[in-house]
Amino acid sequence: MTDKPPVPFLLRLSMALAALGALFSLALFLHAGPYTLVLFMFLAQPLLLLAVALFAVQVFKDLRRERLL
Amino acid sequence: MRSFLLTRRRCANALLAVVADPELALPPPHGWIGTTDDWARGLGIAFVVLALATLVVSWGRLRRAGLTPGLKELLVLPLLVLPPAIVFFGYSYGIERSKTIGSCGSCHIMKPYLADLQNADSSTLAATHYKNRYIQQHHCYTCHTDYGMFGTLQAKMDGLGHVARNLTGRYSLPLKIAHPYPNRRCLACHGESQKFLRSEGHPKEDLPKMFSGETSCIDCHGPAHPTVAQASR
Repeated sequence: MTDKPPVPFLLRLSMALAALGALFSLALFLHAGPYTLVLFMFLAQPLLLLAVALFAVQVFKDLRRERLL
Repeated sequence: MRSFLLTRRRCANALLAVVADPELALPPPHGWIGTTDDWARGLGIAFVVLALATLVVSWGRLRRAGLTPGLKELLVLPLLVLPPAIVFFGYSYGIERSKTIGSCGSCHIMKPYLADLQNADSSTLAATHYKNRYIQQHHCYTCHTDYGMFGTLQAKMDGLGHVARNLTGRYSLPLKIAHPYPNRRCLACHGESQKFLRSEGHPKEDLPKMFSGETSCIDCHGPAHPTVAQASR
């Protein structure tokens, strides 16, 4: 029997997307070129912004559940 | 006469080599702390590493102890604070770097044009501008971009098309400029200079034709780049 608090799916997804976005961004910082810039603009940026949005949704849900909103 | 010209050319090459040597380059001013690009890159790398490290640590703690209140607070850093900072520095650094000649010359197909640009012996328009430093930096970008906000946007769209065509191989040789080169890109710098206005080659009665684009600057001052045969050599 474990008493670990459950980890919401949205939070895990947000973490995975943020990690992927950060890795693609690192590619641009380490080797700036046309391909890494396209990767950053069309993949890393949306991934990072989606990660922030999903995290915000999860925070909002938590606050609603705790009746703080 | 020929030997004199060769000697002059060798001197010019030696001078360029001296300038290109980083040890003999102009030293930075006192208190130099790097360019904006250097800082954007450095901070970008620092934030990415910090975000990745925090995510790895958080993932480990999630697997061991689940979602604790302390972990929720920690996750604010890599999921809310750092991503906008990474996007900001990545955008700032990436867009600025995309204007460099290194970025334009990173595709194999552009290498002959880059080589000609940096060749002190070349008399093409691009090489003349480069070796005399008529343009301080971003040499390809400056001449191949229209001025103003929409010029920059159009250049980015064109660049995206170039990347797609280079990636898929959907281009035909010899390379040709997509549209006739507009005079306004030349005239934005030269148009109001006294050297241009007082030149015998630019009589006053011909200026309207030049400004309207009816007479092309390249027709008299070209070629801008090496010919196909020269570029493929």
